[in-house]
Amino acid sequence: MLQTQNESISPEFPKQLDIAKVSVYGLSILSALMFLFLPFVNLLHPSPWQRWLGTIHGFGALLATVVAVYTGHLAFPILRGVTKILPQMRTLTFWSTFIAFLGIATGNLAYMRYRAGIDLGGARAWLKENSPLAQYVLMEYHEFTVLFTLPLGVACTWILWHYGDSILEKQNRHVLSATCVGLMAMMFFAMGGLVTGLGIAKIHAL
Amino acid sequence: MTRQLSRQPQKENEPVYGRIWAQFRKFPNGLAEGSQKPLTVSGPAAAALISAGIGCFTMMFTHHLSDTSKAREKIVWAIGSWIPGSRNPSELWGNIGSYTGKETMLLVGWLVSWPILYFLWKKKNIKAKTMFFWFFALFIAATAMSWHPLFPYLPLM
Repeated sequence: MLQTQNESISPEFPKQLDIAKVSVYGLSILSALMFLFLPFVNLLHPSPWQRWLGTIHGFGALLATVVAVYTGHLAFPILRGVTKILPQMRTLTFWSTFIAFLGIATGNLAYMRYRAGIDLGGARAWLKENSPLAQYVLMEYHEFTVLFTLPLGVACTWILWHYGDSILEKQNRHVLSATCVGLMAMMFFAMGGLVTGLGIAKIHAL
Repeated sequence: MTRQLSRQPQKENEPVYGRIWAQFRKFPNGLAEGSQKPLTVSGPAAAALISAGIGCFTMMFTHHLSDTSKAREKIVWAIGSWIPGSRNPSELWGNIGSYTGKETMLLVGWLVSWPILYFLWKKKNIKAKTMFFWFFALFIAATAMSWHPLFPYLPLM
């Protein structure tokens, strides 16, 4: 006997929007966990410096990038007029700035060991001898541009809080646009820092 | 007849992780709500963003000064010696070196220029063109200054 389309789907079957929602949350949680697991591979590294400093800085940097990228992506919908995300933009900009600071602080710790002498296994001295482009192109970019995320994050957090909901008004359109560009720049520098940092770590460990 | 494609979010339908995420997004609450006495002119926003660029540019300028003279590097290192790890007797552990002075100069350039620009512009409307020009100019210059044309040749000198 032929069933009509309505009869073939039981009333208990979840609605499409619910399936989409569960899938988005599920995949987001799994992707985030999988991605954040990456720095813990350092724990298996033969170098004790890489095991500890590499894991700490790797995790700090990865978390900072994930949050900065999430926050940076909120700049696009708000520029398109999705105003309901403004409260979460304020808090996430604050948190991404705070985590960026932790990423920088752990970076200082890793940088100490990075500068050890070549006879003691220091990465910087080894790179200058054997792969100078990694030092002069990747590391120079890495060590400075990641610091840009801190003043950018503080400035954007300050603006988003101080202008309140009036930032959405017509006369403040350029303030909102400049803040969104600031958040995009923060996301860009965080991603650049992660990529160059990973590149350097691939060539020589701490 | 038009089908309704979107629904209003219902709290009782929200899964646990969704509720946790919703709470986290609004934490801290005072920050999420924004100021109740919002600023009305664009000057303070311009001051905040441009001073961030000034701080980054100051750091890169200091980097150039430091890397082209050993004497200047010593001064820059001394400026940053307040940061933990700047100097360290253990050769195995290493030290941060003059990089701490460059970080300090970022803080100095940024946190000194911000209040100055704020007091100059707190009641002024700054044009969008001015705001964007200085923001891009300073950040692009600071980024490009990561690569000094002379740096790869310095060890040969």
